[in-house]
Amino acid sequence: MTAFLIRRIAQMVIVILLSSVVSYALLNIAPGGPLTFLREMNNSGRTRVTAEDIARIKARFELDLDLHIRFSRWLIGVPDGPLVIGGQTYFADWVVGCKIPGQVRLRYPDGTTEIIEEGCALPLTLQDLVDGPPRRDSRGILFGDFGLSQAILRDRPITVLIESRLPYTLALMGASTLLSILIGVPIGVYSAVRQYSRFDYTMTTVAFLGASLPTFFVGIMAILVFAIGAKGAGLPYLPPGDASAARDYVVPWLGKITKESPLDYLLHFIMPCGILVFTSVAGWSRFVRASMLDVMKQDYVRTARAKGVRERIVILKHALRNALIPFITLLAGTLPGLFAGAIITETIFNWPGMGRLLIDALGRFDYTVAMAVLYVTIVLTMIGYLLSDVLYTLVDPRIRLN
Amino acid sequence: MATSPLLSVEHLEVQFKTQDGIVRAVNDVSFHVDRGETLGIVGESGSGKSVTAMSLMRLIPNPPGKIAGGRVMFDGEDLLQLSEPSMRHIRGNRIAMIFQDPMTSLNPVLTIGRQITESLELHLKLSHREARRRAVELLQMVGIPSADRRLDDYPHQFSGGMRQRVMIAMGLSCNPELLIADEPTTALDVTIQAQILELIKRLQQELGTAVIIITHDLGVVAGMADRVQVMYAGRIVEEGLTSEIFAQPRMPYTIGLLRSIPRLDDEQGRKLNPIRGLPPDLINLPQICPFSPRCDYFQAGQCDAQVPPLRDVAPDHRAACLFDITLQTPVTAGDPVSA
Ligand SMILES: Nc1ncnc2c1ncn2[C@@H]1O[C@H](COP(=O)(O)OP(=O)(O)OP(=O)(O)O)[C@@H](O)[C@H]1O
Ligand SMILES: [Mg+2]
Repeated sequence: MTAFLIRRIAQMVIVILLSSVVSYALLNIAPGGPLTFLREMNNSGRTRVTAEDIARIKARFELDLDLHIRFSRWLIGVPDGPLVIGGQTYFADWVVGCKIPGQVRLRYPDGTTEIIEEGCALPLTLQDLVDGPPRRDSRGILFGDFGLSQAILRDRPITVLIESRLPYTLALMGASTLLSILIGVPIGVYSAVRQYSRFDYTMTTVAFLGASLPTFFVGIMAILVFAIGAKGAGLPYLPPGDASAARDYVVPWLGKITKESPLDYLLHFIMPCGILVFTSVAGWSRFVRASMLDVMKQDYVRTARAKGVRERIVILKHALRNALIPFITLLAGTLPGLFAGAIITETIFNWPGMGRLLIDALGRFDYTVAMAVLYVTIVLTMIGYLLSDVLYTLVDPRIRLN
Repeated sequence: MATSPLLSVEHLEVQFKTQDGIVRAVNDVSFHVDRGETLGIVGESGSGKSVTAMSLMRLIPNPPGKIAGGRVMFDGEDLLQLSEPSMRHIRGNRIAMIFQDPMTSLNPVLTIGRQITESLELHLKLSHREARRRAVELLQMVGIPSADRRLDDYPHQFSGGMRQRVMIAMGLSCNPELLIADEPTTALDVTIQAQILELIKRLQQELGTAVIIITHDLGVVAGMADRVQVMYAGRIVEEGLTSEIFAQPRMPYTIGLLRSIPRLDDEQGRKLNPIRGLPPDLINLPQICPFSPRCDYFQAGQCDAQVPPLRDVAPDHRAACLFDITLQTPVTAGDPVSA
């Protein structure tokens, strides 16, 4: 077991490093970014942006550093200056980026000119990291330092941002996952036991709808019906978005709802949670149904019946335990979701959770926030799979970790 | 009551609804088992042996299966009429069953001990502690070494032969009056087979349990059974004392079965005679002798005109053939295809 854990954790570190490289690179390769934004402003003639402005902005976002240096600083916090050993400095002249890029003026035959960047007019050395404008040195995300937000909460620690969003996501994802398991598993078991019954067919249809209708469609329809429609008809309605109201409001039958009261939170919670349950209960119940059907055909279930065991016990004790073994892998997959949230649902319902944080961060070029969310999701995914391996040994005696 | 048999099955009919039609897996099957006796049921694959056995326990999966008719009298009661709770009280308690594949017949996530004590607690109302003590005794009885330590082991920690011993221990745990063993040795290798059969035989003598042993291996039947019945296409086609059936088979199918087993003491040069052709499709069974398309003694106009009833051909010996065929009867009929 210990040997297994050590080996798995070593593997996990490698996978985490690799997937960080990939997601960091993807995010940086993607077109757009703060500079494009600035240049557009410049070209539109609304403001004049000088080369110094650009240099300053670049330094702020660390865009003046080479990609691999930037990545290394983000991941493990080095290099943060020249190497100093016993009063001696080394590598002070090592070029790690470019302060001011070279400019080439292109003159077209029709007389127009264009300035493009090429090469580097003023290189950036390791020493400049210390001498230049102050930089946010982070200890590296690998050591738990998420760094500072660049745009959403300018220069505030990302942990503050996550702390304010995480409770909403945990509540929404935790409650909806738990609910869909609590609803999905019994439905799956019952559908399997009564295969091809009317209940089974009904559930198959509902599950099919839940799984195939996109969340944004169901979400918007729900808002149309339960928020706008119900309100218009003078019926009790559900608030269409946010986690709580900004001022008191009145709902028919329920009366006046005080803002930020428990009832207010509950009313805001019902729709996003319900949508998530509706779309995911299908998956759980289908999975349990298939797994149960497979197990019910097994010889040991027949053996249990031949022993005179009650059908209920045959199903719950002999069959279900076996049927739930593959379920654990699925459970592991929910762990990162508890943190990262449901992007589409949170966006539709304006839910101030992690999923929307990621969308906001991407929309506002807040790369450190986006990367922080991605990184934690990666780590949690890995932990989820490790947990599921350990869980397997607990429920399935045939599996021994070594 | 002493003279009435422990189990008597009368005109049993079992059908399965499938997409292609109704499979008549068991047709008008009647037989009996006396107390303490061993009945062998032989027949090739698909002849309805397992379905017959499962119907006695009312374990035919429904749907698609259905017991369409007949009676199963067990100790004076018709099992087919019992309520489900009363039937549960019979299963595992008064009639026990062991199955073909010991590798899959035990629940992989429950300990051996738990699986044995389950029926003890259920039927004999033993406490958990008593049940465990009894389980150790049972495992010792079926020859599992250091039984008390193995109680908390899981099935995967046992070999195939050991698992079948566990199944037997489980089957005999409540001292059933009838043990149904459905091909208990088919999945095991030959040396283990002999051990398991020996074990069943010994325990049967010690406990006085009646046994129905189902197999397609005539050797198993010869060594174990007092009486044999041969099944073909869901019917019993021959039935009698084991010695009688082996010495004087009277149904061409049985004769074919006996001729198709290789023998070490054969006179040189005798070639093996496998039965040609395939068993009939159980969905469209015409009203003819089901074996006639494969029979060497086929007589046009008779064998294909009716279903031959079981008739007495000798004392305690019945066969479903219209003619008095014996091992000595020369093959006279022509090829039924050209006839
Ligand atoms: N669940 C089922 N659905 C449909 N047909 C079935 C089902 N179970 C059994 N049958 C049919 O019943 C017939 C008899 O099957 P059975 O299992 O009794 O054969 P068997 O004599 O035990 O053969 P084997 O030696 O292979 O075990 C077969 O033709 C089979 O197709
Ligand atoms: Mg069978």
